[in-house]
Amino acid sequence: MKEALLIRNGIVYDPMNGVEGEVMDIAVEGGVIVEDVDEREAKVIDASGMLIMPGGVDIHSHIAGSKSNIGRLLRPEDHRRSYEPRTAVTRSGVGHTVPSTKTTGYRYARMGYTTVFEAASPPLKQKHTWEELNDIPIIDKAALTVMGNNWFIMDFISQDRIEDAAIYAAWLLKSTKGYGIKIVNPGGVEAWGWGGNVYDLDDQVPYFGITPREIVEGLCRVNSILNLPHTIHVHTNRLGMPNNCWTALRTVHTIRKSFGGGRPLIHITHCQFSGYAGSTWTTLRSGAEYIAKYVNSIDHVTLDIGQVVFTDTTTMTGDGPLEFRLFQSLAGKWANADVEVETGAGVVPVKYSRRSYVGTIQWAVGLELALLIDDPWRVCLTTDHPNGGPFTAYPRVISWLMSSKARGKVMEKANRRALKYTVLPSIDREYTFTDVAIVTRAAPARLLGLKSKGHLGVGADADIAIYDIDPRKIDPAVDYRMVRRALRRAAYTIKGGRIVVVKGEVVEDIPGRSIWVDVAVPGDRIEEVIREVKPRFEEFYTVKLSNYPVPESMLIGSSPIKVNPSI
Amino acid sequence: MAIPSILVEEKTTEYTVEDVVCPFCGCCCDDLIVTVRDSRIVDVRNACALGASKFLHMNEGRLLKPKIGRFDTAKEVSVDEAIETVANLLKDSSYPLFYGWACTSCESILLGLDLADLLGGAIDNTSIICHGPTVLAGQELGLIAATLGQVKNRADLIVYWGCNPLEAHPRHLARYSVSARGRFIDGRRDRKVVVVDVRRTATARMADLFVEVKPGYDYELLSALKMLVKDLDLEVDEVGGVPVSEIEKLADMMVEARFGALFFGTGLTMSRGRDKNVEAAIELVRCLNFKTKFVLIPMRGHFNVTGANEVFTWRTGYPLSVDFSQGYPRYLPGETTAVDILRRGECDLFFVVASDPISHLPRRILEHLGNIPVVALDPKITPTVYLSDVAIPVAYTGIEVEGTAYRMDTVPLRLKKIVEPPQGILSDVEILGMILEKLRG
Amino acid sequence: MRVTFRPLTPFKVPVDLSPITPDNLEDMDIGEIRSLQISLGSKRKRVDEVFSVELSEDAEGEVAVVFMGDFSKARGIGSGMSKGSITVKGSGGLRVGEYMRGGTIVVEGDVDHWLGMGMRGGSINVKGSAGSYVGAPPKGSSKGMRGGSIMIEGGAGECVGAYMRDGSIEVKGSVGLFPGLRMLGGVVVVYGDCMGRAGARMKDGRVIILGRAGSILPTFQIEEVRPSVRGVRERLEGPFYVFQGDLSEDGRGRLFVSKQSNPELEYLEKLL
Repeated sequence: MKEALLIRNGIVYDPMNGVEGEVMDIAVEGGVIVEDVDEREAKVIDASGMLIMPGGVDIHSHIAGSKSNIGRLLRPEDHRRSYEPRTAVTRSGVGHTVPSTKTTGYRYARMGYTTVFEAASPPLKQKHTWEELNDIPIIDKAALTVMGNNWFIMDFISQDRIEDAAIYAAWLLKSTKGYGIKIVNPGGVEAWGWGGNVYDLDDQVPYFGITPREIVEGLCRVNSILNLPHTIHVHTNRLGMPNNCWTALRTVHTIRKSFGGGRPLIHITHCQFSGYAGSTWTTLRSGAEYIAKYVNSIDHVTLDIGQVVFTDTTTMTGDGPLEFRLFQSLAGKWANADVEVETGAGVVPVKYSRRSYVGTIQWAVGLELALLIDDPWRVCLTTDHPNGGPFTAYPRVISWLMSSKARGKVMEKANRRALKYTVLPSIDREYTFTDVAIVTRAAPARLLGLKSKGHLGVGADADIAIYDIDPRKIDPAVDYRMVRRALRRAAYTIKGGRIVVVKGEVVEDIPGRSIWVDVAVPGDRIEEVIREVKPRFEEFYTVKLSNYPVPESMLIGSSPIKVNPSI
Repeated sequence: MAIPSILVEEKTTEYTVEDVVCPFCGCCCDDLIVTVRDSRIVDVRNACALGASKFLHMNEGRLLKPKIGRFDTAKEVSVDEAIETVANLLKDSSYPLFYGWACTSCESILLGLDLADLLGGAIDNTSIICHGPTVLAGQELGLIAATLGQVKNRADLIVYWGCNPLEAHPRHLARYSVSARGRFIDGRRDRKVVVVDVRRTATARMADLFVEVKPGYDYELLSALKMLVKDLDLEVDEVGGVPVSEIEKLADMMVEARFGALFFGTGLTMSRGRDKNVEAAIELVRCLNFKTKFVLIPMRGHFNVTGANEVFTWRTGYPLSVDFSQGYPRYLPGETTAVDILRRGECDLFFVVASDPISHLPRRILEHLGNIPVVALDPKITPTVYLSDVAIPVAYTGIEVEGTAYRMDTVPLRLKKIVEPPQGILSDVEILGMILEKLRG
Repeated sequence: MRVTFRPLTPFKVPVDLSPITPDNLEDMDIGEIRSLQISLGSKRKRVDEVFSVELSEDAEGEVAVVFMGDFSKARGIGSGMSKGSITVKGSGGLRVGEYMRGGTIVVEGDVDHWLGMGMRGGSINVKGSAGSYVGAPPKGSSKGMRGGSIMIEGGAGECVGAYMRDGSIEVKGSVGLFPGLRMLGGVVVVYGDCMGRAGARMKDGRVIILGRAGSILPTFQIEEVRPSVRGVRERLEGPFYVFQGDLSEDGRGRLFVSKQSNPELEYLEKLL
């Protein structure tokens, strides 16, 4: 059935197609954007005086899988303060910082988001990730596969067999239905298997004869060989520690030689958590200026900010030693979940307080990154949900980006001493609606290589967000509250041509699609590598190789993207 | 699912399925080789006696037709009639209780949660009578866990506390822990093994150190160990019947391990103190992580009881005992727990899937079942099926239907379909789907 | 104003009574009270579909709510109330007095688990026995009772006063395991026996056991023998063994155990 839809007279921001606030009609048929539809047969939405953007794309969010579920298990007190009763079309759910599956989908859709990438999934537990992603309605989903501490990858790289590493990575992606290469504290999580960590790019990973630098460089080459749509997605070493901005910059710097122009090579994720200068917690400084200066001078890196918002939240990451360190300082709840051969994970609830020195620095770093980096196409808005705060805080973050008045309001109540060591008070840049459309849709879609997302050109997926606010009539720098309110509850969210949200309420509960990358490595090359790996695989893992892959039949709405590698 | 390597001989059909995941205990061993001849399972290799017997004897005592009516008044009916009856009973109820979910697939559990949500009932899984205390303790402090491969590759100290894997999880020692070989550990000789239990079990006999604790004194013993690991002095001479010198020896072994793993069973979770015992174990492991690397892993019983906790958690936020009566998930142990709801006689319908509560819940709690309708879905005739007002036969998950299950360490595995179910028997996913459709209708 | 609620029929499913508090009823007339929505299992009902309601205006002052009958399947009687009084002439069910801030609740029968959950003020008197988790925070939270007083004439279950920060709990009968679990302040007095593990992981506050104490955890260290100790309203005569703990949590809490009722602890005096 081809359902036609005509959205009339909206004020459209579609930066990928150079549209900046033009009043125009958008036609939808068969789930995609088309040139025109027959008005008499189409359902018409009158969007006069309303803001229209492509559906939001979240490049990094922990919404599903083993550690999200550990987070849910750990926080019954979090669920009690935020619940959503069942309606005629939706299921009930709970959770302020770690919402249950159905609620996650509904809340994203209500904000006009239609595509979300689960940030880190260990291949061994990727069936779990997909079972949860299947249960998240409406939005399209994909999962990044963690590889930065994978024994087979590390072994291949340390033996300088990059092509075999690439073939193994391709097999991992294909067999677990992953989307891209995620690197979490390279080498450090393996060291956490012994209760240790690595603290520098050139530290040795115990027993593996390899350093974090070699892992990042190796996987960067793997990524290029495989022609993956997204770059390597890196959570740097020393994340969340003072003085780590230099580690992040050296990580970016080390792969510059493989850059020959064209597409970027590395994505530094939740960069705020890697953006600290100052050698101890008491002398912590913002390192955002250094990072921004470097990023502005080169082309091969992109990042998402990982903004902190002042709230009680739940941190969760594959970086096991980081969470243990957090637990050491907070002494509250701490969950750990090592995954054999591949990675680890940890979960610790935290509270970011504006009165706290460290909390204020963290809050400022994220905003400074977004405001000091000139090119919005290389910045994505995230809170590293739920690490910096739940994704439902995006409208708040956007209001800070669009209005120095809004930032000033927060700074009035923030820790004064901390603000002295940030440059945020002196920044007067304010995001335009175009900038916002870039960092929340167009840039993430482009960085992820999603050709049919993040824009409203003909042929794009009909994922459209309509907000009840007239950008011609309001000044976001002043009326930031109105912007915030409008972005919280989309007037309409259209997903794949279906109207799923009206006036901030879900009106139809449809399944989203499951996106993954199918790298067409020649079958005999995969077979060769896997045959070699198999005996050691079954010695190290506790599952048989044949039981390791995620069958495609497990995915609801499986949408593979074919990729041709240079092998 | 495609059935691999089918060998067609003259007249008889025989095929083998390899790497089958065992749908018996929480070990979920995934290396079974099952041979089927003329649609009957005739051989199971690599499995332990418990696992093999489930495959080989699954057709004994099977429920083959839906029935309506209790005990001897039962009448055979069609699937449609049974489903119609169940749907009507559910429509009339204002607080149904759904219970079971340990021996079925995650797909089926999700439908159970759909039902409870739709009807505003309560839903619970059988972990309340085995490792529920483990998840309760996890909610207070957080579990410090690892997948079993971490143990296999790295652990040089294995502690079994309140469990007897040689009898309950027979392949656990060889596959995952004591004698498993991994990258850094070459089997039994690279490891020390400690057993803490109230009696010298078979597992205890092969340990390097056996600590015999007085029944009900695990919390005290764990507290004493915590003191020693924190370098604090004990003022007493013995704790829980164990001399302090022996406790010191165990504490030293734990601290000196490079990678220690504490496996615990119902001996800890179901004895005096229950979830607080597990909390004490978690606290001990927390302290140990300041000195070395230590993890703890529950020895879960049924093959997918872990999955039940996982599915409950991702859909409702809570791992067990969820109540939907206010229109959204609520959870409070003692209030929304199935045993307490039954004890107070608060549900007006009892719906059992893949479990036999009549055999394993206390009699006092079950009295209420005399007053309300009971519905059961089960592959075989159990006391619960016998007592139920409506019972519908279902296929065996992991033998006759595929699905996902979670191993004790939360590693997900795909269960396989090896043979067709008997004529006319559907999976619980299909039955629950049909009931839901009737109710939404 | 005095409002009396009598169930029309005995409850067969849980009934949530949290909307019926003196605070909520204060400005209502009888019609409004009768049309209040409460939940009976999954169904929403008007109060007058479930109860016969009687209003007598003669009583002066604050609102007095009276529940007549068996409320053992009830939830949340007196939830969040800050003034007035509730009397239950029968059993009281679960979460009686949850998040209570003021006023008084008297239950003439027994109550189930979670009495005074997360309570902040006011007073509760239970003539019968209580279940487990008296004064404890809801599961997963560490915000326990922060004020007010609970008096239980009968016994109580496990974990009385878990995570308690302030206020007092007195139990005339016996209690289960773990009174004062993870306590941070306030006082728990048990006049009867305790199954054991009193004060487990407590950081501060006081637990007083006048009967048999059961097992004393190895994480407690004896400090002295004291002739008497301050109770809730009066001094309690001992002598008492005084323990400090829980040492594994760097605790500064105090556990007082009656010397008379626990002769087997006499060997501890050697350690002094």
